[in-house]
Amino acid sequence: MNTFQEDIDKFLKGKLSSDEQAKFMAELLSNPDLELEFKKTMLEQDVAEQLIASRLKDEIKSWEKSENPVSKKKSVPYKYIWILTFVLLITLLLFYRIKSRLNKNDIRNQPIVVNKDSIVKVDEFANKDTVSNPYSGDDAKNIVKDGLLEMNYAALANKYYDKSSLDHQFRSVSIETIPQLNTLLEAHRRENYQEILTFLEQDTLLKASNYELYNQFVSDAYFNLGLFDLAAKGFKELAYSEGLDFDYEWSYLISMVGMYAENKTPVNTLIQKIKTDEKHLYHKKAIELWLALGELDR
Amino acid sequence: MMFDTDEQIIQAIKSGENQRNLALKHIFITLSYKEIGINFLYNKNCKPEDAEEIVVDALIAFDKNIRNDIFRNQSSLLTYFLAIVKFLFFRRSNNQLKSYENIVDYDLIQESFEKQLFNENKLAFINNIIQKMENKCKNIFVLLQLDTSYEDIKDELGYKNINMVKKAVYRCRQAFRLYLDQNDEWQNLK
Repeated sequence: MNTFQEDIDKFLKGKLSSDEQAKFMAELLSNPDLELEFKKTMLEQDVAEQLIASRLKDEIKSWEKSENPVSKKKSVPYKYIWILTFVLLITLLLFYRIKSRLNKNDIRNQPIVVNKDSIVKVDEFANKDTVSNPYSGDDAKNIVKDGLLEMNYAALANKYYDKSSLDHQFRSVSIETIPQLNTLLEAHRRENYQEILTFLEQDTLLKASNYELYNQFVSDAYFNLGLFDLAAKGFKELAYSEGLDFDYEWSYLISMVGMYAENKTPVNTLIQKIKTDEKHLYHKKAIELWLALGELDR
Repeated sequence: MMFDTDEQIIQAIKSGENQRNLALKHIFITLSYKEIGINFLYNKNCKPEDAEEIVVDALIAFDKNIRNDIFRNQSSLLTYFLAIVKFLFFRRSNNQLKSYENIVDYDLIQESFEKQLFNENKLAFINNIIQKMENKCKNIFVLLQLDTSYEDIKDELGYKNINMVKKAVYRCRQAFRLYLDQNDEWQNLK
């Protein structure tokens, strides 16, 4: 084809050494034939990229079809409607009977107590040696304190056991998992996070039936045990797996705060993201955190 | 293949067509980049049909930039994807682009995007070439651009041996150059 092609391909794929690159660039500036071939090859790549883009569009359509297969509407004969209604009524009756029986010992019927003792734990956390906790000063301490309080028992209980939103909960908490949740919340109330992890390792029902809730318990336990890297991983998954969840994204950030001494970049990137998004629920808090961290070198 | 980290996803995107498609599907569907992008756009009062288009265009640009090492690991992949979504959205609504320039993650993509967006004339010329290309050559160009080895191209396109692949590549490139020589207005395109 031409004598330059091999060098051009290597150059464009970054496979020339720095000496060879410099030589190639010098030749490119002085040799019009090479320049012409170079431009043709660039255009060839543009064509290839356009083809790739068009194929990727088709590929995306096939992903979406496989995720949302179009179901054919089937007409239901009228005689079956009566049977279906009857079955539905029986199911509802059984459902409410089971529900009322479980409610007798349900922690949802007990008053929610905010665990103020966790503030002591936060004080210990904030006063630790700067190697494990780079924060000092009241502002930074308050930010971390808020973060931990948001993840305490009251927050969990409010989120999943608020009676006024029972209807919503049945979408996220299946009735079979209520005994497991009671055990976990009891352990949480006692701040026995190791017990939570051990329990969830042995009893896999919650994980199988409600991965989000399972993940929140696990991540929360990791956070309280000071295993911030594991907590961050869990909260990150929670934040982004089913659309952006502001609460979990904030928990993810607070968890990364614990790892800050090791790697500042992800923390700063995420704070930037949240503080520049005016619609983010934690927009103002992110600005406060950013200012609080200003005391530290970044 | 499992994709637990951004690094694994980047590696897969650079590892030929099959791995790349799996990785892109993983982030777009399983990790919900699509939903996250669309939610962002809805919050900016973007029309639903525009939002669908923007997230697809964003994934295309995201894929291209990762394969070509334009993404420089300055952020997580999700942040980068959202930065592209934002850029494409604000680019559509020109009046908002100026305000967007003040947003930090614009820096992540600005330089690369200003260079790579084709103008209408160039896009028309490229689409014209594509219409005239043989399907075999289209496949070859795509596989070469995805850094596929000659051995894999042989298997993928059913050639008997690597020499046959090399000859086919040569012929396709020759045909492409012949077209350019006969239609030299491409030299004035930017």
